[in-house]
Amino acid sequence: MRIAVFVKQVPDPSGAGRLDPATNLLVREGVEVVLDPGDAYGIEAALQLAEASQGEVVVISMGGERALEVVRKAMAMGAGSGLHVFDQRLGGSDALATARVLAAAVSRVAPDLVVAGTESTDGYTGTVPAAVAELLGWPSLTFAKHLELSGGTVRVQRQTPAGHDLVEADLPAVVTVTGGINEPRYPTLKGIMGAKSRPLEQLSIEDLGLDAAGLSPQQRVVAVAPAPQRQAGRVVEDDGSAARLIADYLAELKVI
Amino acid sequence: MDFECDEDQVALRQLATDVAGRVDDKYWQDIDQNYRFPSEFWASLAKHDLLGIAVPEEFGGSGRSLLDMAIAVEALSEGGAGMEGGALFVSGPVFGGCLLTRHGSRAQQEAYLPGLVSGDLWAGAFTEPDAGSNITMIRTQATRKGDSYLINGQKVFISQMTNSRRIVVMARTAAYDAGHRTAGISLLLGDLPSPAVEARPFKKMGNHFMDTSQVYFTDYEVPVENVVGEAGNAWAPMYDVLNPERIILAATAVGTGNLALRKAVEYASQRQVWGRPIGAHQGLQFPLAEARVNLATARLQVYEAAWLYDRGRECGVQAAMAKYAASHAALVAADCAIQTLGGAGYISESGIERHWRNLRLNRIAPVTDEMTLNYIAQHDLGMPRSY
Repeated sequence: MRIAVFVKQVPDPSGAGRLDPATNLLVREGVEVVLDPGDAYGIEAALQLAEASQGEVVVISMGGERALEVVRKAMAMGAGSGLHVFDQRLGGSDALATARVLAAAVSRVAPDLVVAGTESTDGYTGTVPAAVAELLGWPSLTFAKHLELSGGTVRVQRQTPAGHDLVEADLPAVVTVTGGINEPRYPTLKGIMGAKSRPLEQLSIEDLGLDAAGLSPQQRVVAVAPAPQRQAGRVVEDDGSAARLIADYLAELKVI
Repeated sequence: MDFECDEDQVALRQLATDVAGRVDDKYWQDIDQNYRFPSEFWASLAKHDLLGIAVPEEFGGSGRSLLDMAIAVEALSEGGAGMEGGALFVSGPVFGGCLLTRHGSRAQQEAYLPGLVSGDLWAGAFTEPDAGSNITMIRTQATRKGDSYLINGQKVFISQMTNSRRIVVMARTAAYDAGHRTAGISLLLGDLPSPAVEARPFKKMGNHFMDTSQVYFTDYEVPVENVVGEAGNAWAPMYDVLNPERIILAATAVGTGNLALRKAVEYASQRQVWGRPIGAHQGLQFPLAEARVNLATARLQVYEAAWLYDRGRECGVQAAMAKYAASHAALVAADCAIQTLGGAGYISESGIERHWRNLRLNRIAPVTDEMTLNYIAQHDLGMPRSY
């Protein structure tokens, strides 16, 4: 069993993100960068599946030079090898171009399963894993809060507002996992030291057999605006009727 | 000269910070208030390979150095684990790891180091009621009987007796010779618990995560092959335990001092009085900045001492200086932190006063300020031996 897992290096979510007014894109230079916290769940899920099946995990990332750090981190957690797509021409790629590159990387790795976080903590499109599945012609299973393999199928509990759906697909497939599906491990010291001797490939657009011309962004951010300020809540003075007022208010919102 | 940490040391520091960050201050307050051994944290140290940092790879460790252990210990302490997180390293990685890595027989290394890496706790029984720094005056005897030694005697201020699986006992295997006072002393390795070893823990001011006991040995039997190094010649092995112990406790103090300082700075930045954060006043800034200076310089001395130890060079003076500088810098830092928080600093819940209580020990143990200074006077300044 070979499992590929997508990881992304993002500006530290605990810092305040800044947009470049010229491009309307997130500033990624000169800021603290970390492994996307959502990806840690994907790595942990992949490692657990691999451990249960004597399989291996391959980390895949597309990103700038520093993305190498997060690939190494995933390898220190236990992944057997890494693939870093690093090409200056990919700077500013949109979700579709990213999906094309990742799909080509997946084809090269030829895994039985791809695991990814639900969405990145910087772009939040949540579309890349599904787009990769579409480009590969593989089933896409999203929002998995539980994940298991049996024979040639993957079965997930897909998070829904009401609970979960049971979804099953034949392998190979692409699965996105929710935060909280597991408790991601920290790398151990031996993991950190051992990761350095495991294979880590760095590939360009051409190495993946792609044409740079087909990867130019199809999407342009035309305007950005700050999120609206939260409105002050309604204050209810309790004269004995507060419970009724609150219940009416919640009913009006269709919460109850 | 190179002050840059290598890639592994950066990752190790991050790992230690993360491991410490998984445990919150409430956990340590609970340990403190209930005099409990932090078994969950200890297990986490083992799980993340931190107990085997300096143990050779062939025995399950990572084969790195005392300097790396000091870096990890400092990060654990600073990352939230305080004195508790660092001082624990004496009870295994130092008492067992440093000793056996340099002076253990192959059989001892194979028998004991893998267990140490996976979490066996070690006690070191050296001090006696009438023999502290004047260690040559110890009266505990190990008497040869066939293929074993029988140990009889009394020790005091021995840490972690309740939970230790192994113990290193310093005992006389030959009578005291005034002409050669250090001769005839041996280090013997035993297993715990044993009905022949009785420990009576003391109540004490701080460091409640480790019990400190009076210990009685009555015909405690250890096999002859458990003597570490040469029988009757414990001096060199002993210094390869005592110097790392000073270095690791100094690293612990530096980390803990910086933790107290961080808590103080956070409070001073948030607490508003008359429309300004109290941290905007120089009267509060200066003591904290001065504490920072002293912690930063102590840290350099810690690293130098560890670096010398790793190269097998004489490091007694540097270890003593590191221990002295770090103990004082950290205690003052914790004191300034209490002062910064005012009344809140005196309340256990704010998680500051515990550091001060714990750090007070470092001016006394593993060696007192006074004995540290007369060692430096004699061995570094070349002044006459004063005792």
